[in-house]
Amino acid sequence: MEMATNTPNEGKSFIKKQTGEQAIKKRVRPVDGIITITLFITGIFSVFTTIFIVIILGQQTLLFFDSRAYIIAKLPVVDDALTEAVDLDDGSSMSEFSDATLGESIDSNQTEFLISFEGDRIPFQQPQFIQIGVGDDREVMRILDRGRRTIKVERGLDNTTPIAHPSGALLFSMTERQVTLIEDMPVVQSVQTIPWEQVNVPFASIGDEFTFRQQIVKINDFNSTNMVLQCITPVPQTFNRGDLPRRLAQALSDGEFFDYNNLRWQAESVSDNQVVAACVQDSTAQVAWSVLPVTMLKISDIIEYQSQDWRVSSYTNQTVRIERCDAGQLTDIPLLQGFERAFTVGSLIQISTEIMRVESVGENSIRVERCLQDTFGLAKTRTDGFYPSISIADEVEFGEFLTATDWVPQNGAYGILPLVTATILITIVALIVAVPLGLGAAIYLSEYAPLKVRNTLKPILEILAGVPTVVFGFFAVSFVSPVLQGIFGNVVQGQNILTAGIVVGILIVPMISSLSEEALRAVPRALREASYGLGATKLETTVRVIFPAAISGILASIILAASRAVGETMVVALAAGSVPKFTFNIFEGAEAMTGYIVRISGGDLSYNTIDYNSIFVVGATLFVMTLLLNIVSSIVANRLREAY
Amino acid sequence: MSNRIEVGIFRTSVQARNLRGERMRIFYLFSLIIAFAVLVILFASVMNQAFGLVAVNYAVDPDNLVRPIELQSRISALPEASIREFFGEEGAEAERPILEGQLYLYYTLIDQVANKRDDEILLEELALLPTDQVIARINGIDNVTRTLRGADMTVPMLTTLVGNQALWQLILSPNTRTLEELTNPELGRVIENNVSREILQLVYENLSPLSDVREMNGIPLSISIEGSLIPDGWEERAINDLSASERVQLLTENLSQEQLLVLINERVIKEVILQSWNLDQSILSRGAIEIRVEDALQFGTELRWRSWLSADFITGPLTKTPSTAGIYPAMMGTIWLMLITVLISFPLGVGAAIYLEEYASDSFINKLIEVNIRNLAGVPSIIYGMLGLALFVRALAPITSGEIFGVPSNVAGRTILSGALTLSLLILPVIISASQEALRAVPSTLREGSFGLGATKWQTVSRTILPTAMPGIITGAIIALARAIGETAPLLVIGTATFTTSVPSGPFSSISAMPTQIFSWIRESDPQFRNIAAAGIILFLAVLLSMNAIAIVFRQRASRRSIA
Repeated sequence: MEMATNTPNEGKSFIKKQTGEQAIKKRVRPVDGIITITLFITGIFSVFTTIFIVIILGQQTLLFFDSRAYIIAKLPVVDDALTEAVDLDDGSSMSEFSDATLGESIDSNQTEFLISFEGDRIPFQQPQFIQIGVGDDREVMRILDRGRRTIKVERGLDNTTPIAHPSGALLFSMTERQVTLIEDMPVVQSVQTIPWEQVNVPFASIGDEFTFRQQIVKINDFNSTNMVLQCITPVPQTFNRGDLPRRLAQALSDGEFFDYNNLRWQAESVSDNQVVAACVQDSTAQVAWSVLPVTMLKISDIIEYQSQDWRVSSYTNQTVRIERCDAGQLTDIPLLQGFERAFTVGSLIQISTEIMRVESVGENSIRVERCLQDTFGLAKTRTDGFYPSISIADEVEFGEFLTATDWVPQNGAYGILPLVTATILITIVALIVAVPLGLGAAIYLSEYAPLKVRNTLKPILEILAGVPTVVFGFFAVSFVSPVLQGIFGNVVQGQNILTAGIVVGILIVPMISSLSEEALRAVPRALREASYGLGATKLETTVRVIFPAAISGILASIILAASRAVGETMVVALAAGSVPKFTFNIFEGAEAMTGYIVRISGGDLSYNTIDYNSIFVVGATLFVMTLLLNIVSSIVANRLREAY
Repeated sequence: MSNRIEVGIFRTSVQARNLRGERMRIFYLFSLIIAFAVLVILFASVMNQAFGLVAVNYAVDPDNLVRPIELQSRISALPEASIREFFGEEGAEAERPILEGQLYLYYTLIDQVANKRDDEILLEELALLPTDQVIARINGIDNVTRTLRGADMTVPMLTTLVGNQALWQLILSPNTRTLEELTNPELGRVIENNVSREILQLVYENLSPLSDVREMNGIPLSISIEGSLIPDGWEERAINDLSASERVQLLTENLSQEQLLVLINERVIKEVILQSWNLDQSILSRGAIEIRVEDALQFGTELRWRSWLSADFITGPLTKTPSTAGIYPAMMGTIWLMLITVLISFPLGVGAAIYLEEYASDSFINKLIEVNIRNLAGVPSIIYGMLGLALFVRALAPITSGEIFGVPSNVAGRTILSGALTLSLLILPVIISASQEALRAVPSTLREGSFGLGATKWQTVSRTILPTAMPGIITGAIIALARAIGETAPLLVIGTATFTTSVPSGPFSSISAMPTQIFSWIRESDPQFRNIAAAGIILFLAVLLSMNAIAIVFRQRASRRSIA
């Protein structure tokens, strides 16, 4: 019975205890476990950021050192006669390089001559062949050596004859056959021939009469270039003898027929000074449209037919031949493996006489857009030539990367030094501006300013720090640069290192001042009081006691600010210059690392090109530089710190 | 004696020391003042470019719009006899309307001759030229003879007409009315004469409730321009069945004269800004500017004040001419970026901070996280842009372009989402450290009290610590967000379109943003782009500085509360 009474009691409390424990476990275990894991994941997330940064920069850097530049020449429309591919002995083919012009005509014995090329560098490497002239007048030479603007060639090669004064057409070859010839470029153009009645523009018809050279004439026949006119009503007209061609004027006598001004005339009376003549009744003459006072449909006029725009390609007196090419048609062009890297999306290439735009780059092929608006109706395609003018530069070498002083990766110049020197110069100028200003402001705020002043001034400094950098870029371009030009005159280029440096300096003042102020304020009061107690003035206390005590924090802030200046982008991109240049003249413009990245990546950057890889290499260099500065800064902060 | 001297030396040296101290104090103050002066100059130089004088001219002289209308009514008012006189013998056979039409056509010819682009001549001077020179000029113009042919005029006829002084009188007598005085149907004719291609668009924009101009084709007017006045019997006709003048009739019957004038001003007359001056030039060298406008710029140019920052600029679409370009698409892009960036970075950042402050033990991995966050804060923003380019734009293109969510896209990963992800990574370290500081500032007594009451860790964190630290966290988040919005470099690197006319409408839209837009404007060579860049900067700074101000106010209020 007791048991019976006790058990339920015990059971009850047992149950209560059980549920309590369970409730605690319920509260604690699953929820807390999940939360901890979730929070841990958010915590570890930023580590992935770093890992990704390192992997991406590293991988692209490796790719960069494994790649070469594919140099694509700009492609003006090339005269048909010049686009003749020449097969050399070694199986390589030649490509037109029409951007280059010969600096002088060369004679048969000359072995060195000048080639001027848009941009400074001669964009091809030895050993290569060049060809001067075309057809039977051509001469192929082997390049022996090249200078900055000259090349030295070997002449009199087996299969060519030395020629004296070539026409100036310059072709250059590539060391390997680079692009497959296209088997069959599909024709994408539609052509129609329609009768005149369907052309919805006013036009001449046979039998029309009008006045031409003051004679009444009738249209007998016409086609797209000429018109056959028949004289129906001769109107006597007076010519000055002097106006007539001398040969005519001398020989002319009454009643004589002569051809002049596109018509056939008969002289009615000839005096010493004047000739009265009229056209010969019913005589016909072929006259080009261009000299007629009437304008009719012209070749390449755009006309509307069936509510579409068509371009007139030719016409006869019966029919008009019109053509149109619907924009946006795409054609895939197969290429040899790897050569798709020579093309950038959006660039124009030329195949035979048709200009196309590269729409996308696939694996071993490119897709081109046909029938571009400005080549409307030009889409005549032949299957025999492909001239994207490509050459291949040497592979990047690490030594060259670090020491060479030219940086045009697209043209095979891979020295990063110009970018680095520009960045360092900008940083130095920035520090020269920012360190005195920043430290002065910090000392004033921490040591001199009354509390109230400090509380109002510090937020204003924060505003300066909160202004987006693009605004500082605007400031540099629209204010600082003109002012500098006003002070120093024309030696200052529009974009220059000094401007960028000064403005970046202004940009990092708040950083130096706020970090240094914190360091100064962290110096214990006791030190200050001891110094005053020894009779030091405020300045002496500040300079001899507090400043040395806070030196670790101050140095760290300066180094951090330098790191910020190195990575600063917008001011540099807008104000420092957009051409990489190895210079130490701060009045000149020179592109810095960040500026290069912005310039290249702006617009449509296609992947796996040397452009794409090169910005990551510059990025990696930048990353290493800032990382080193940051590490040095934290070491300085820790090493030099005095413990109080 | 020697004591006194020492006191003297001491005094002078103390004075010298104090003087030096005073000098240096001035130097310190001076450096602070320079920093503020720069801030002032910065804002001033922006303001300077955002306002100022502009020299404005019209694409079309309004007088020239009135002239054809005027002339037609003048011709129709002429007595029949004098019209026939113009044409001599041949005029006697033709009907009056044909003669009127030919007279009018003749005017257009003369007008074309006068306004031939490469060889402009005033009508008055043209009238004084000998006939054969006028004919020579006519022959020099393409298409003139075609019109001639259509009008059945032959050269001899033309010769007669050119020589007819009475006709010149008719053409040269000045307008009696201005554009504002024309009646509605006449304004309609002005529209028809000058922008005949845009009439459909105008009808659509002003009368139609439909969402696209193409939808109007083929459906009855009673639906396509529902709610507008439709002439009797036209209800069942479709817009594409109407002739140009019938379409114009719809416009003139439904719009008031003022509305029509506005249309003509916008579409036909179109102001063109020839040159602009900064605020300082506009005030200080007004005289020189006026002289330049009078001497060097074309006739009829007006000088007027313009604020480049205007309602049109804020709400207008992006165009390629600075005078009409607006920042609306870029602004919407920035707003979208801001929204998505907050959604991504705030939970992640606060979560990480809670983990590091409340949960993390002193293990290696947690130290690594701490060090890593500190280092990430020092990585230049452009590097984040490259990360975004390689990771979000390229590798994760199917996700960021919305392809796997079934959103059709042609921007290949260069979307708002990619930009927002990049910016989120960029400000994550800032949010984490700001939140950490806020959490650290929560007194440990609160924590212990909560534990003492039997709360679990998560309960303590979520109900006690987070609410207390929230003001600090939010302040940090706002400042970080302001920084993210102000960043230009990473967005440039991931390929922000700087010319897009489409307004971003979601995470998968093509990315555009205010700072990149401003950047591309600064880079333009046309100086007027500087003006709109300045206007954009003012707008942009207003947004950012107000965000910062909100954060500062928030912080101060929170600290006051915690002290209380």
